[in-house]
Amino acid sequence: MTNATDVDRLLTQAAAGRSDALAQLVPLVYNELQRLAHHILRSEPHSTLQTTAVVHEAFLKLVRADARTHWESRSHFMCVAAKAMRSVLVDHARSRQAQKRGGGAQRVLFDEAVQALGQQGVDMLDLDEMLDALSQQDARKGRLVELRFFAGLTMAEAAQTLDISVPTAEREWRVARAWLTSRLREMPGAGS
Amino acid sequence: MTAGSPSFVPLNDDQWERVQTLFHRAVVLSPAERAAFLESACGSDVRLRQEVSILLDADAGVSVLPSSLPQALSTRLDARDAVGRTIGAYRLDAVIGVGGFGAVYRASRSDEAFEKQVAIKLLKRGMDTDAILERFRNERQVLARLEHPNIARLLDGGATPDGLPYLVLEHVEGTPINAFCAARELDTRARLTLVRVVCDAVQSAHQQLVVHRDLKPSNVLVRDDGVVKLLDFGIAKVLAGPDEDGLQTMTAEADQALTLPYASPEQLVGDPVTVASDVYSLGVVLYELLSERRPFQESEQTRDKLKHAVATREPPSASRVAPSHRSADLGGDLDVMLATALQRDATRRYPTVSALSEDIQNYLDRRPLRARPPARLYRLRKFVARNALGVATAATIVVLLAGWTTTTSWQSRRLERERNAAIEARNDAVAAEQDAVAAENDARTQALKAGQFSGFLQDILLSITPESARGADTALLREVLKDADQRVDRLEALPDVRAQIRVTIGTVYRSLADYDAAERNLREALTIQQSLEPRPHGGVALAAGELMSVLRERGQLDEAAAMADLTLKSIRAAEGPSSRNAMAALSNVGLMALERGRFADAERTFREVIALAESDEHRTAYHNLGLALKRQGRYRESRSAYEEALKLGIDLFGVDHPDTALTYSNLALLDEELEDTEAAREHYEQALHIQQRVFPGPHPDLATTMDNFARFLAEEGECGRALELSAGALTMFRTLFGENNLDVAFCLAIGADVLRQCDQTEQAVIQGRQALALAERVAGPDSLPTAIIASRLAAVLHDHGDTVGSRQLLERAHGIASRRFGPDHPRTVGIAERLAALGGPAE
Repeated sequence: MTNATDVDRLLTQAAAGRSDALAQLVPLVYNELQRLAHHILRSEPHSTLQTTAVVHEAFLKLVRADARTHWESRSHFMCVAAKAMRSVLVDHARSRQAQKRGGGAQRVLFDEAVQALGQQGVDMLDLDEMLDALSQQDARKGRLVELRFFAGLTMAEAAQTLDISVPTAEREWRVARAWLTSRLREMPGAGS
Repeated sequence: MTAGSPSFVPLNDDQWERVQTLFHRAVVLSPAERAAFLESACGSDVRLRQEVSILLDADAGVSVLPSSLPQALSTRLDARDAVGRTIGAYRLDAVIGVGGFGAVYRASRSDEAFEKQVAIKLLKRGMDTDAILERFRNERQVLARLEHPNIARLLDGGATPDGLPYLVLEHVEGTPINAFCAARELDTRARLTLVRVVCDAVQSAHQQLVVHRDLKPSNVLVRDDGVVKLLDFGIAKVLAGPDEDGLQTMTAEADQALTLPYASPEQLVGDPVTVASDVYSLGVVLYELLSERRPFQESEQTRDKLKHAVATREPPSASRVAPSHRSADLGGDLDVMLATALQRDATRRYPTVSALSEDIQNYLDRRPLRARPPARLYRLRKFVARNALGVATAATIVVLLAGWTTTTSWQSRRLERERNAAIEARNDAVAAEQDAVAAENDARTQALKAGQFSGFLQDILLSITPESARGADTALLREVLKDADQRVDRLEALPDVRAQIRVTIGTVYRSLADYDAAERNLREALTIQQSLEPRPHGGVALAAGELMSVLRERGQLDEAAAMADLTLKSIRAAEGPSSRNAMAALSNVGLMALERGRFADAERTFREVIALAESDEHRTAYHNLGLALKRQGRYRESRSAYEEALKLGIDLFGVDHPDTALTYSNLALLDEELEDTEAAREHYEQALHIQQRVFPGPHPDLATTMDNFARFLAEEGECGRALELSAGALTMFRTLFGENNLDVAFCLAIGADVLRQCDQTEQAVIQGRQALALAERVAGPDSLPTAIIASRLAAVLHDHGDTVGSRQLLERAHGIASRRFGPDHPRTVGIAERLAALGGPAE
């Protein structure tokens, strides 16, 4: 179980530049997501869990826990959390590819994520690879995509997190999206 | 703009900065402007240019990246909640898809031994269950009738115990059509063939009065065996209701990005949805399949932005926005087809889905399209454009032949005709270019150099301007025509195109009064069309109709009449007995009868037109009937027919209209026959009055009225005004047509007559000789106009005391008339009588 104190402590440390704190945040996020997944999937069919965004909720929880920490670390946290989310999903996609049809109920959530992307003709692993390439070219755009795409932040939230104006964020998003689209289209099997 | 493949080698910071700057500057430009902008901005920096192009290209296309994974995910998770539930007799087995309306599940019957799979659309909470169920009950009878192999059936509907509406549908295991095409890497023809199947299914639903309202790739599935299945027919109506805009499903959050792009302009603004909306949506689907782009980039954004874009801009041609691997097949016909389907104004789209389907087939068969730029005329519709003049002008030509008392308005029609010819030549050029391109893809005709061929057609296109066609500068035009004439036979494998270009060339030659070349081209065209199987009736009609006009103008009336008959027969075979074109052709048959002196035949024909035709043709037919009766000497009946035409004309166009003036003008001529000079004077004044108001400058109709009125006034002894009007008419004709023109010749001849009446015989003889010389030069020494003017000049010479000269001219006219009409023709006999009055023929 994640608790707010753990997150708070790790965030503070991460904000102070301790990379091991970042490393510890990732499994925390993973656990939180798993817990949520279990909860959702075990609930009865009639359960009115009107999930606005199940995954998003995981972050909101963590962010709320983060409320007492100051702005810089929250912003920092967002970036880290988005990265964590990404790595969780990519790991899942990779293991899924390795063992074909794996797993327990907790995997379903991630399967869904991979499929949601697949519905657009995009392979999670390709996206991961290209996102790395984009970050290498332009780190801020890479973070922007993580925040928007993996963490589900709105444009305004993402802009605030990156400390840029909304119009700037919109311009960056447009370039980033075009860049990724052009590269992902080149991937074998794209569009199918 | 060729983007090429993206590079994975990072750019340095400066370069990346440049790329982004240029991207943001270029992205607001039109595709055409972009190329020029990049050219100048990037110079020789190939990598820079390539990078920017790649980004622009991707930006214009359909993004592969959803903006938020959690959002997509949560919708799916919501849907997953219901798996395992039992709804009615069905158990939900798995989520097939999710959208703004709710989710679709694969389900199986839980109460039966055999497995029957269905799809269940379970609507989400918040939709108005009662209203939806009521509409479902209203629609289900209609939807149940929709039995088509390519349409997934709606089986049942109801509400869950907790009040969520659901629909039970035939389950289809398939891939959305766009994904199917991409996965199989289908080429353009295969994609078109597939869409045609879709069209036919949609059309069959339309015939059952069911409009889909939500056509989009995810509703058009293709099974692995290639069978197309359309989903959700009529469902949008059930969901949104007949009185709403059909957008309830479309604006719902998750589905928005998917469906908005396919909504028609009328759906975007909430106007009633018709079959035309499905035409539009199919157009968007086709556009996307062919170009991998959507017509409006704004469709990726919000409904308001899209609405604004659709209302203010035309979508760019698919060929301009498509990536290079797709754009090669586009352009030309396909652009025209898409533009027609995507017209903002529903009435300018393909009228039905089957019309779109037909054009897809036309394209696949390398036949001309129904839709044409820029006038979007079906080939055969050109017939009306050409022959409507035949109808409207016919009156005047007959008058001219009969007594050359008037030259009337055929010249104005001729200008119109030349303009039409230019437009048609351009259309034909575009069409032929497309056909040529299509043909080049075809292994049979690889020899054809499409580029070369389209090059010369381009020249035609550029050189035919109203100025050049009016005779001011025909040298270039003639050169281009000659070139076209020589090259057209290279289109060996495309006889229909060859024929069509020959018709164009012939028409332009006719407008240049080069009758030999015109006739040769048109005969060749007709021969080709008649040799084709199955017989292209429309093509035969066009060639025969045009040839008829040339032969008539050359005075070869028997053959012209045969062509009129052939035209009528072909049009009726193509379009049925009483289409608008058929009425025009039937009128021409009547007019040819008139010109050949077969007045009773003409009368019968015109009465047939009156019985079959609608308002405007009706009016023209009364006009023509008036002439037929007049030629039979039945003046009073004739006047009634004219008066009927006048009444219909005023109803149709009002008093201040060129056609109304023309009828007054013809009534005046009839009044003269009835020796009702008061009525004649009044009708002339009316015609003159209207024409002076509706034509701001020189106009052939006005000049003609002035000419006729001048002659009338001269006969009445009012020489002052007569001479003034006559001189004015001559100046006007010369301004309009230059010196070398038949109408100028007729005007000179009538002027000579006016001068004779006003006792200026010296001047009359000079002007009469000028007229004759001009007719000989323009129409030929053995032509009908020469005969007419010769016999007119004979009267002038006779009054001048030159009996020998007069007799010579009459003999010459008699010779021509005998050869043209035969010795027993009333016109020939008329001249013979005048000769007899002079003491009989010389021989």
